[in-house]
Amino acid sequence: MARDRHEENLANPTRRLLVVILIIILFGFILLWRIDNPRAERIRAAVVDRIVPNMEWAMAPVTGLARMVDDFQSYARLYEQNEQLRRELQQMRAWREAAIQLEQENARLLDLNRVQPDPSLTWISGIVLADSGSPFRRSVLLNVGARDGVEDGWAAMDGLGLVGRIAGLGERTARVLLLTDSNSRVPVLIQPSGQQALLTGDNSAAPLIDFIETPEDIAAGDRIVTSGADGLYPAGLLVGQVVVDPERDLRARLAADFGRLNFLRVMRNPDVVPLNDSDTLIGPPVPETAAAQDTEGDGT
Amino acid sequence: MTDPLTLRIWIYRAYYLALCLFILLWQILPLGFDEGSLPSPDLITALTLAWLLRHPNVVPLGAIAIVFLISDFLTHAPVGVGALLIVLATESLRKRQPQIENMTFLSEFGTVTAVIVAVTLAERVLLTLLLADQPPFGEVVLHAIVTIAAYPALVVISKYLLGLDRLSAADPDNV
Repeated sequence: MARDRHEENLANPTRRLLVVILIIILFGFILLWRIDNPRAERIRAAVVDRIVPNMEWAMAPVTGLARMVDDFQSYARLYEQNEQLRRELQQMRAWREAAIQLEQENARLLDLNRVQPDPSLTWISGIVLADSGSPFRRSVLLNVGARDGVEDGWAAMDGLGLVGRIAGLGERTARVLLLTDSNSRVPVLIQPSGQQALLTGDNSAAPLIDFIETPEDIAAGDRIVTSGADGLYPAGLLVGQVVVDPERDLRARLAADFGRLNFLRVMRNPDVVPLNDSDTLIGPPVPETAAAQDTEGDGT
Repeated sequence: MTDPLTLRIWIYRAYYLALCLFILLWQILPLGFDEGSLPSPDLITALTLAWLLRHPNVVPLGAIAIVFLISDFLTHAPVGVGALLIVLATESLRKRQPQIENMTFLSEFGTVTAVIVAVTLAERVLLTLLLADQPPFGEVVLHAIVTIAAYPALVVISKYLLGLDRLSAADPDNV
């Protein structure tokens, strides 16, 4: 009897029509996502905005509990950690001496120069609500959004180093595309050699450093900072250190603690051009004349 | 008016939606990314297939479409691709329901493996045709394998913890 009902159900022409309509709607979503991507991403941001903050009452205690379990597990390694901390403290004392001397020197030089620190670099703090939930994407969702004045393209840092940038903005939430995501490209400067490079995320914990002119000049342990060459990230934000992987590729060990992203700073950057149309790119505007010449060149 | 069977089906439909929401929220909890280790399985796909093969009425088409569309939106995946493919896959399984009812667990597992592999490949082909960015093929394959491996566990949980069994009287040595 169950089988009769089942076949009757499936053969029902209304149901068949509904299936076809549903498939067409879903295909429409795919086409929208592919053809008018900014609009699809705005819809996505709106959906996330509707769901995630409303679910915070359920998610926040679970997150807290899971983090506590994590902390308890780390008690098991207390002795090892203690030893390690002692060693690090020893090294830090040496660094502290150096830092104090540098600070005094810096203060004297600043005084000579009468330089003010850049006042435009202020920030908005946000709490991480959720991450991407997919093994192929590296992003987190913050509890600040357009109503807090956040804009697309602004850089996000934890206390120490760069974490990523805002890509996707809702009214109450903002998505941060992390440096480790395979879509992330950041122009960086490697100190002390001063070489420009591109930090390319590949879903691993340590992004690849690409497009270096003379890799011989770069040693493991060199500092990586943003160069600001794309007009998107402010220059001089700490990214991390150079490490060499077993395949002799240069990678970045990130300064920010990506294992525990909890509070992030979104750096205000008034220079970022917002992405409103589907045919513009984030970054400095293309000069009029160059664009005009380009189209002329194409025409002839 | 409400006979016990209808009531049971509606209870399981509510279970399905609640479980999917729970899995989805669990996935997006900010607990750090599993670097280097195995990717986490796609539990929603495995759960949907397990319940569909057990009792197709408790996973109605509309619920599947809504769950997977929300999942696509929340996990920053290509919008609608996962939902479309899973709707097509579940519809083709629904048509084969009479054969599936009398399957042993091994052949059921084989069917599920084939469906997950087909969905993974179809997603790959569709995204290639649309010239979209794609994650590395190795990671995608690994994700599919982990999902397939998680399937028997979900079946055991569904059967013994939630009491969802086959529509027809199945062999006692299934599962």
